[in-house]
Amino acid sequence: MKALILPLRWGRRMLDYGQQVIRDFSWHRRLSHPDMPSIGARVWEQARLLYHSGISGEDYYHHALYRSDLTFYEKTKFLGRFRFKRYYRTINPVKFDVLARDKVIFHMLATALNIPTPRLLAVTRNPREPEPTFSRPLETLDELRTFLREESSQNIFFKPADEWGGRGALSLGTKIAGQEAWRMLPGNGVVTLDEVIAHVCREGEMRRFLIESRLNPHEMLENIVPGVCSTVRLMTLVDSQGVNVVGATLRLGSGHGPTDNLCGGGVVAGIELESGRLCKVVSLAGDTPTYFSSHPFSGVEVSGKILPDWAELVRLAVESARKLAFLPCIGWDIAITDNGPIIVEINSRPDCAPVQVGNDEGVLTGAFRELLCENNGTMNSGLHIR
Amino acid sequence: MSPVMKVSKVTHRNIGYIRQLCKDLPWHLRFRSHGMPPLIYRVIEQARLLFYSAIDGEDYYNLGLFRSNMPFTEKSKFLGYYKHFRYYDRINATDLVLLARDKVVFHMLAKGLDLPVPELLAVTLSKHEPGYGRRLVDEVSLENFLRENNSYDLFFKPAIGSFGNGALALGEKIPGTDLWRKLPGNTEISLSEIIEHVQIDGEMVRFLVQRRLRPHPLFHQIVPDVCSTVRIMTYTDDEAVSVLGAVLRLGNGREPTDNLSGGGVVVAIDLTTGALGAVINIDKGTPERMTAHPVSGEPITGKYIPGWRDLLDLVQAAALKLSFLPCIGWDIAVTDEGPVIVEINSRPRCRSIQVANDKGMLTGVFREVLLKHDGTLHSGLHLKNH
Repeated sequence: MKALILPLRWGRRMLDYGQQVIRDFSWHRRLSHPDMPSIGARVWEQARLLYHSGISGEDYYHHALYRSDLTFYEKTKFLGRFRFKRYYRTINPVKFDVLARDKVIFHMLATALNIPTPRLLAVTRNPREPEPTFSRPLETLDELRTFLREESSQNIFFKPADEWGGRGALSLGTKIAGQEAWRMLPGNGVVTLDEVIAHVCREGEMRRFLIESRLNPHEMLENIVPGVCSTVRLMTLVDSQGVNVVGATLRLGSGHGPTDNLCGGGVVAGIELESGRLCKVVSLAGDTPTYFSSHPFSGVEVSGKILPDWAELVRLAVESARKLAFLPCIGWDIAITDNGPIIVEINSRPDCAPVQVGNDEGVLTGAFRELLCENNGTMNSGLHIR
Repeated sequence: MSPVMKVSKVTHRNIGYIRQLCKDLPWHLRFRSHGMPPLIYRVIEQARLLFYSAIDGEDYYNLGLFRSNMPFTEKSKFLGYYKHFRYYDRINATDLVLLARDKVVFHMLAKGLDLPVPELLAVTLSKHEPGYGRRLVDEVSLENFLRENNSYDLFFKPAIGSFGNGALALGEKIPGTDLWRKLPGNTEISLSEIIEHVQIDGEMVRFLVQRRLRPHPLFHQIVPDVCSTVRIMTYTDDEAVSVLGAVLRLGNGREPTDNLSGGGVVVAIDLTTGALGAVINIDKGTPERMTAHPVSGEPITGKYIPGWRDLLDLVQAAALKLSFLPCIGWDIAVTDEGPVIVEINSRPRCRSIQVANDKGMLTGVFREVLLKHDGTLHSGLHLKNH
């Protein structure tokens, strides 16, 4: 039976690679430029990288792997997002994934483990869908209205419990006197009570949102992008030797949305792990990296600055990684607030792009590479990095 | 689902029933001379019940369903344990089952939700598994922990386990030695025996090391040094908690836990008053009714569970907090300091409640919710016909 299934699975896998290469062709055609190698060379190189390290067409251009001054060996150190679940499954047990994926459950765990997280004020949810809730449950529109009408309901952050990439987040500032409306952040637009309710509901049903106290970013970060709590994405890996920091990057919002995700139009700046010094600012607005020394929208200088509370932030991530060692590889989103670092959320299948793009360096080195190599070339991992 | 797939699944399911009936035959053969209905009659009846409500051979005799004075409609109200995950997976989301099954994760969750649970002193573990509090990762750290002055009155509970298997209760430390009193029974147990208990092939197994709960004097008198628990089953829907049934479980006095499968007894509870009813023992395979504990001889029937109202309030409040697992089997210890949640079960075996109350649980809201998936390939139940 095994002898029959294995070739079938292998055939399906090869078909999957073939389909991906065809899908990626549009990236190669769209981003053709006279400075780049020929389209044939790029397609062939990306197909090899897809097989080696899961580099899709999107990854290939986001990481500027078309550059001819980069050796192929250097390029194979970048880890792509193609079927990323496969390789993360070989590190983080699937059964524990829910503890990171569900932001409400993570909040409960963090509370129990004394991991600092934003203050959770309430959770909205549809009463007909029994999903985890914590703190004050808001299950009807009336309950949500009552909560929002309370005087203390200002400077709050709505975060969807199951979404990723910053989708669906809403940040409210202070209440506008005499109205049922708030300043919407960033930008100081106005959002009314009905608009907030419409945001939380879909087709008349409440969706599950965490309502947290909005974090006040550290002054240095507030100066760069006002009204957005920028976070550090730090990746850790726990192995028999202890906690390894795989890489880190600062994510800065574009200033137009409430989050700082790269896929939401934000920019990243690599971080020197030893000192916390910020490297160049990178934007992927044109789908290939563009480098700046200052924030492209606010114009505030970023490169060369030292992140505040850096040592404290690394210590917090390392200590927390030990507490959550049952998920050996974690991508931490840590806000640097005026009260020190706070863990906003964790990712058990973190996108390596922000760290790799920010530092212009692949993460497939050291302990992370070693661990992935243990399952290298098997049907499970989907990587062939050796 | 394609017709071919459906036919294949139905065939597979029916083969499963036939194999189970073959496995159940020894039960029928074992009891053929006890003034019961003829063998063939019992085999056919149990086969029908297996199909309707998952009653396997063990359930059939443990629950006394062979009785000819009980109509078949009454018998079909009893829920069996055959492939129980099928029907529970229709109620409790499978990815959240981890929160109940992994006792360390549950402890963290309970701490986050402010639920009363036993004090967790340490966790023994060797791999990257969920831990909490002090981590005892090798023999040396466990030895050091056990040699500390406050290492007495301890309860070792496997992090993943059921039916009380692997539990170990220690009483006082014998002064000047590396020996403890093992409970119940007050025999001696040495340091090396404890270390051996928490290891398999020299590897540390994950155990929770809790402070031993002290049973309420009423229960201490019946079974000394074993913390007897109340098993309550709840179903939560639309913010309403329904108590499906409750039973008191008393150990046999030889083992540290009170599970029925370890030779203990169960006692029916009047849900309104907390009054204790008949005492049932199923050591011989069929229910034996009595009024006192079979080992200690202490009378039980007619007594009341101390703090019954508080216990019910605790369960109802906790069920609302954990409403993302609609059906829960709660194990609540009645201690000298009030009720404490020992653990929860997201796929609870209904046998103890049904046998004690001599009544099937497939009634009311529980039946309604199971009927929603009745007759489908997933649920494995066919309740509609009865």
